Amino acid sequence: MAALPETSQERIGFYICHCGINIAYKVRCPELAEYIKTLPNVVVSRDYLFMCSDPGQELIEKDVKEYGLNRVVVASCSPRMHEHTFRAACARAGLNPFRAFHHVCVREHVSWVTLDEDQATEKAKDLCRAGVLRVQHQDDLFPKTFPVNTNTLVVGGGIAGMQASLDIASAGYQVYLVERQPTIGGHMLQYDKTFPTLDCAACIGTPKMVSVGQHKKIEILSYCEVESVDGFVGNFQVKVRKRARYVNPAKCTGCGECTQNCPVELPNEWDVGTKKRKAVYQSFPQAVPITFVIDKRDRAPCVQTCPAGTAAQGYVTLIREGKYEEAVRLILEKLPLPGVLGRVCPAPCETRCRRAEIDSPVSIRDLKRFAADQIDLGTFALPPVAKQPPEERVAVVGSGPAGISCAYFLVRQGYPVTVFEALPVIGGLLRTGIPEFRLPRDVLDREIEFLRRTGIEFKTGSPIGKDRTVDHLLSDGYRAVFLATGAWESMQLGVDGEDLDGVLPGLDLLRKKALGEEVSVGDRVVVIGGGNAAMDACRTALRMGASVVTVLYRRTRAEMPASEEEIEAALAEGVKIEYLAAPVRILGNGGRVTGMECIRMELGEPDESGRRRPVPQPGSEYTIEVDTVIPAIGQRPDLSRRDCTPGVGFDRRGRVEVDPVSMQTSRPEIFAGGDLYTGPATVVEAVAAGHEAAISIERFLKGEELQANRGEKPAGEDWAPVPAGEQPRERAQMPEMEPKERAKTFAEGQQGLSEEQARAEAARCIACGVCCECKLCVSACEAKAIEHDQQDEIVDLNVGSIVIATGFDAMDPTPLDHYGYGRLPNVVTNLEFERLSNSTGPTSGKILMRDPQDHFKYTRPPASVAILHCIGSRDKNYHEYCSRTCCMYALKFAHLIKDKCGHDTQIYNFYIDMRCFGKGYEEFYQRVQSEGVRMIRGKAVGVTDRAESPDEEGYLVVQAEDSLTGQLLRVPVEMAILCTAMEPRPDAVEVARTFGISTGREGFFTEEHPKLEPVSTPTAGVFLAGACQGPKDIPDAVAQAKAASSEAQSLSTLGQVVVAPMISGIDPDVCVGCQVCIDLCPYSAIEIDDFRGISVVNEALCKGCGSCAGYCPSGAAKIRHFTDKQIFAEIDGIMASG
Amino acid sequence: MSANEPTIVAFLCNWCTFTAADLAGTSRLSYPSNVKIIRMMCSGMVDPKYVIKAFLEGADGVLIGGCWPGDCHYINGNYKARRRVALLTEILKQFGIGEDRLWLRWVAASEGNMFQEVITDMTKQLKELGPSPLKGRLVA
Amino acid sequence: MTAVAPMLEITDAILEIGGETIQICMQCGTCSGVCPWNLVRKFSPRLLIRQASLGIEGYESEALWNCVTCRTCVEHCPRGVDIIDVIRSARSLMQESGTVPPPFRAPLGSLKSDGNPWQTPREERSAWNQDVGVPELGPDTEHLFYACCTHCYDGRNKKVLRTMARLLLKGEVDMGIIGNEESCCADQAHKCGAYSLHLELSGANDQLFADKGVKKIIATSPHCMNMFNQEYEGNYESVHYTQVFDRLIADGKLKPKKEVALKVAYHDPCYLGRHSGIYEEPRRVLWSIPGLEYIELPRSRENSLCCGGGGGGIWSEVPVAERFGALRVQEALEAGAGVIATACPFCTIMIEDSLKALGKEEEIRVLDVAELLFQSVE
Repeated sequence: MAALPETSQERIGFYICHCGINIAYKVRCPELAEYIKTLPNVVVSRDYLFMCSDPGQELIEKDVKEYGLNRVVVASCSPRMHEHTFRAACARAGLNPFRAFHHVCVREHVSWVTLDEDQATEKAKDLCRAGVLRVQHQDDLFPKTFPVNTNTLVVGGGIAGMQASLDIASAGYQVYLVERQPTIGGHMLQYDKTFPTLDCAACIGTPKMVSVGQHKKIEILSYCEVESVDGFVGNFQVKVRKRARYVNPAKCTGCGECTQNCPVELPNEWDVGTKKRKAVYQSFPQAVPITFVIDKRDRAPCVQTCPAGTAAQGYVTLIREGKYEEAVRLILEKLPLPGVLGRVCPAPCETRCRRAEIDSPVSIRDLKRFAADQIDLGTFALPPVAKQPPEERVAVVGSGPAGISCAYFLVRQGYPVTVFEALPVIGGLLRTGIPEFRLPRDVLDREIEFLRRTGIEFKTGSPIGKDRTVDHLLSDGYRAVFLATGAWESMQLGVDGEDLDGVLPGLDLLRKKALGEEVSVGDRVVVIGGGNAAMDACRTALRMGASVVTVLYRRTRAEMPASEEEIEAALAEGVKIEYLAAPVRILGNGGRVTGMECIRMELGEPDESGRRRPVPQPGSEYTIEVDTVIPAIGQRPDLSRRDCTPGVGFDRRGRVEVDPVSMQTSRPEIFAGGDLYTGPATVVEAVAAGHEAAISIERFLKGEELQANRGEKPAGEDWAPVPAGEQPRERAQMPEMEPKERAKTFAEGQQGLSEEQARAEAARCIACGVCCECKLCVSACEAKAIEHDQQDEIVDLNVGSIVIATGFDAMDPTPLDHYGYGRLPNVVTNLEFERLSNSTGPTSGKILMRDPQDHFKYTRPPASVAILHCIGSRDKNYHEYCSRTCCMYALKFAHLIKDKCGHDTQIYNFYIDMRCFGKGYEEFYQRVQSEGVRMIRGKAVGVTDRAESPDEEGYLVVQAEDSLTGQLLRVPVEMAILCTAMEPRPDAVEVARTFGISTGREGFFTEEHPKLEPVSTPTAGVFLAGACQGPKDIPDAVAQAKAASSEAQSLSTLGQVVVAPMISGIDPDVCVGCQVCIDLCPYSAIEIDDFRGISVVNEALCKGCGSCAGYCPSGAAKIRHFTDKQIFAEIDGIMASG
Repeated sequence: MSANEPTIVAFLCNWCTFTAADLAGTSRLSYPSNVKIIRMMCSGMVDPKYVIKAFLEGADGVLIGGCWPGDCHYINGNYKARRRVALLTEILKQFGIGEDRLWLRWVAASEGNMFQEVITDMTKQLKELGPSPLKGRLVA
Repeated sequence: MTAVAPMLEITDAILEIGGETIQICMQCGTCSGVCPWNLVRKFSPRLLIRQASLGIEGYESEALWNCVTCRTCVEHCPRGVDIIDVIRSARSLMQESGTVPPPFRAPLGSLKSDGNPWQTPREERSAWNQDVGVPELGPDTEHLFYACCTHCYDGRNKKVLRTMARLLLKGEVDMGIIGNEESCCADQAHKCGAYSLHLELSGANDQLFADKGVKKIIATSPHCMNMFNQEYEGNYESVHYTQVFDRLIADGKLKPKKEVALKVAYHDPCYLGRHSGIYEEPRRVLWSIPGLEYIELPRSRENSLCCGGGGGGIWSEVPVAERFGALRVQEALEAGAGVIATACPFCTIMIEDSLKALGKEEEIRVLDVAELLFQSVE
């Protein structure tokens, strides 16, 4: 045993409590007292019946005075119970309670858990001896007091949260009420009537909501969630995420015009899916606050994948609604050329379409084309144009998609723009690189004409180059220039014979054809390459009269970069494709091509692009007879472009160097983009680049920062779930000319979707982002309250106490397959029934059966109903506990059905035990029985629609044993209601962590003591109210809310809290300044004192976890009241007997 | 206590395992009397010295009881305890104390029955292991 | 009125023999509601539990012997009452008082005298192996091949057993038999509440297995497998032959090649499915057979309908109209099956008897999974 201080002045009093018989029945108390008396420094050792009683405490006080005790050890119950009581007694006796007192637990840890009396007594001796040794090393400690912030945070706006808020606010304290849903009200407001009084839940609930909404001292933070909580009792710092509502509460009048116009529908959570709502909605008409909310998830994958960010989900939805003009207007927000893109876009949007999880992607591109084809652009109203100073002119060089796009977006912003085009025609590669049969000229012309109408000035035949450089444009008064001259130069094959007559690069062929220049191909044509340009070239050659057209490609079909449908189209039209072959040289005679020598390839190792590298097979050379060779192996920017822009950087391959976000070149007033920057790419990428450049140019002209808030593509996968039960439907196909027919003509081969096809196709969209950003609500809202660009906000709150009232969830009975929920349309849950019966529900309060064909349609009242108790409650396989409310609401349902569907409606309650424990509850049971409701004592084991007799045909058959008669029953009914378990919210564990509280075995929050502290938690200042603590009915939830509010009020009223002094201290004489503790401290409560080179504890922040003390290599950090000496003494005491 | 009865010194976190021990008592769940509890505020404040001291004084086993990962009242004290125990087992091996004598267990406040199980199991295993090799070899 | 005082000592006895979960029953009637007997006649396990828990008359009625230990009620019981244990314990009391119904007496007697319930001499136990050639278990043999009594002695099942053994040998499974020294696994004795007989038989086997160094067992009946895994002292790893087939096919050691153009419905044996959780392996074996058209019965997997043979049911005399086997045959016929495949000797007997009694031999057959696989592998 460790030696005691030699010159001990210690005078110890020891008291063992019998706790009635609770301790004494296992621990021989007198023997223990006798034993402790033999220990050094113990002056008094007594056993007593109830130490916590007043006489017991007085005994201590008296002994302190009489015997001059300076230390007291009491062995009784857990220190969590009475440590405080005895500390107070010591304080009254004039001692510092922390120095003087130690509490030993011999009830919870000894007498109640040990079977054998001898063992219990021995264990008690060990523990008491440890206590007696420990107490002698304790020091004076002085608790600190802190002021209490009188603001209170209430989390959850159900009946408990509302009640707590009202009570606290009525006492004059500020309340912040955070609610996750867009409205307060909670489950109670979803209900119809309340048992046993049959008050209408709305009649008693909505006035509460209104009072909360109007109370000056309550601030409702709806559609919000608590992100984090810091601090301690009386002084919490809370961060609340205010989710973007996209509707400005200051402007929204709650008129609902937005909802009327919204084209997106989905099941309403408030109505537990019995009814639909729109993407912009209000949970129910009495919602508080009345402000609507837009359910906007992450952008749909189609929108995310579109390089130009087109609102694809939006225009698809508008097409479904037949609103083609609005659809085109929406497309024009991001794309100036809807008809063009609707034909030639490779549609990256369709690659990630989640409709594919049901059948196949929505045909988004064809829908865009359809919308564009419905509109007469000649009379189409121009988009609104902003006003800018007329001298802020911008020049665009090149009239391809990038240039057009940049010009278009600048014009829309009100800047005068001139587009300079070297060729006599407008459109760049759209006109000269894409053959007419894919993009009819009239479509392109119409759209360019429309752009001209928006105000773009086009100057054709105006090359910008060596003779007329960008600097000329600038000196002509243009304030900024966008270069988009494209990639026009064809790549060389690099084989002999490339200069022979009859070798015609694909791009040249297409351009000449487009410009109406003299050009022809021979009878036997070979096209080299595997991209879309090669496909365009071979199909053009075919239409120009070639009889044999062959494509030569070095890899296999799997690696071909051309789009699948182009390859298919070419093959169907009669083009042959030779895979794994490449030219070696072109053979000629008299300067004309006569043939080509080719070589076979094999695929080797993957190269840096990930594709397997083709390797020539020596000796496999062969010769083909051919008279025209069309290389189509790639393009690059024309190197002479450099000349027009002195001072702008280009790379080795002729591509302009720009900032990838702003598209700005090394000369600040010059921007560039499109193929000139990327090399050959898609039209939609060029459009995106033009748009980005337009944004930059506007900012440049206004002298704004170019980089701010840019370059981030929308991301995230918080999408609406793929709807269950959606049937696969075929993707729409455009009517097409026969391949052999269309190969003879340059007319467009595909004929566009019919209106019927298009709307059906659009209806296949599953609305991933929920809100499709069609903006119909914006135009519908007179109050201008819709703000689609809102962002989530973080609100900081300082509060002194927190009431948690986050409620419960009704269990989903789908996993209990034998009850048929989800399979049998008229098996409904209790919550669904509440909505059916509620006047704001899907049937306006009529109890009707669901149409088996349509989930959202209701037909007639049921003639017979079964109410099944204990679904998922009192069941080891789901929740062992009783949900407490079901018996009573089941009776209420029975009454409501009798009341609303007629007295002759047959009602059966299948119950195990009836639990009618509250005031007026048993009487209600009796009343409902007397109304003729049949009570069957037996748990329903299943619901089936398989009839076993003609009487059961067309009914739901509920099976159970009536345990009172022992009869097996099959009861045919028309509707079955499942009374499902109340269960903890799925995120209860995370919520518990946020607030530093704990959850019990079933997942509900744990109160501090099940009997005496039903609303406190182990974390001081955090209180519980309502069903988040366990299943309870409305009166219990309200009572608990009132209790929690009174806890919060007492903190505020007192105005200060005493914080335990068991915090860390660092001995400045021992600390070596290693600073390890600084990183260990989870509260950042330790700082380095640079002057002294040691660590110092900030006592206001330290919570006494001891992380520092547990590690400190020099032993300088100590937790007060848990010092080495104290713990060592305890260990010594325990081990002394061994 | 007889030579065959192991002594277990248990350092329990006030917020979870200590409370679980209280709950075991309130629920009258019996378990062997071999365990002697020392209350700590957090498993993270259990200094390795304490464990070593307990073994040197002759304890046959030491139990550190903390909150489940993620549930620490002090944010992350239990993770620190876990790291320390990992290091400590290495040191203890040099004293001939195997890792089967130093138990770190997560027991939540509501898991009174789990506390009972842990103590019962630990006592049983320590009985099978026999007395600590340090027992009686050192003089305090 | 005649007062009947509850005989609580009866309840205490049941608790002691292992029916302790009887105390937590809340009399909700779920067991009765899901019990397959109520498809054909009235039977309330709830009532038996009630009577047993108060010791009042009735629990020891003939009805107690209805239970075929199919485990449907145990799966559904919201309180976790182990109803099979309760039934076993109550039957055990009847065993002690010598009031076992007549049909059960002969098999139990045979178990005692011959170590099998088929009233056939012990010496004939391994006669089936004569031209099959499963080697004797040696000290280094990996698996004991333990043939169920019903496989060894019942004519129909003997054929199944030989087929099964040939397939396992073809798959080069390292296995051996012990032979005539083996006794019944004691499943029937156990479920009929013949407590001392169960201990005698399983004790003898345990000793025998220990002497032979048995670690792994391939059981030919799911009942035996269940006993070895649940009730035996020895720590055996016991598997069912369909699990071995499944592995052999996956490893390419058995290759089902020949087409077997049959429409086959699989009947889950209770002791393979609900008792042991093995649903997929026998199905995968059937799916691997080319040409076989697989039919899933409406009552399958966890909801499978018992053949009626478990828990001693194979010995009781049940009129054809009340046989589960007959219901099963009807169900399979309605589903369009030409073969009911199964993997338990009791199921084979019970279903085959029913279809004969129904006169449906021309329309449908019962085949073991092993027999179907054999046709494809050869």
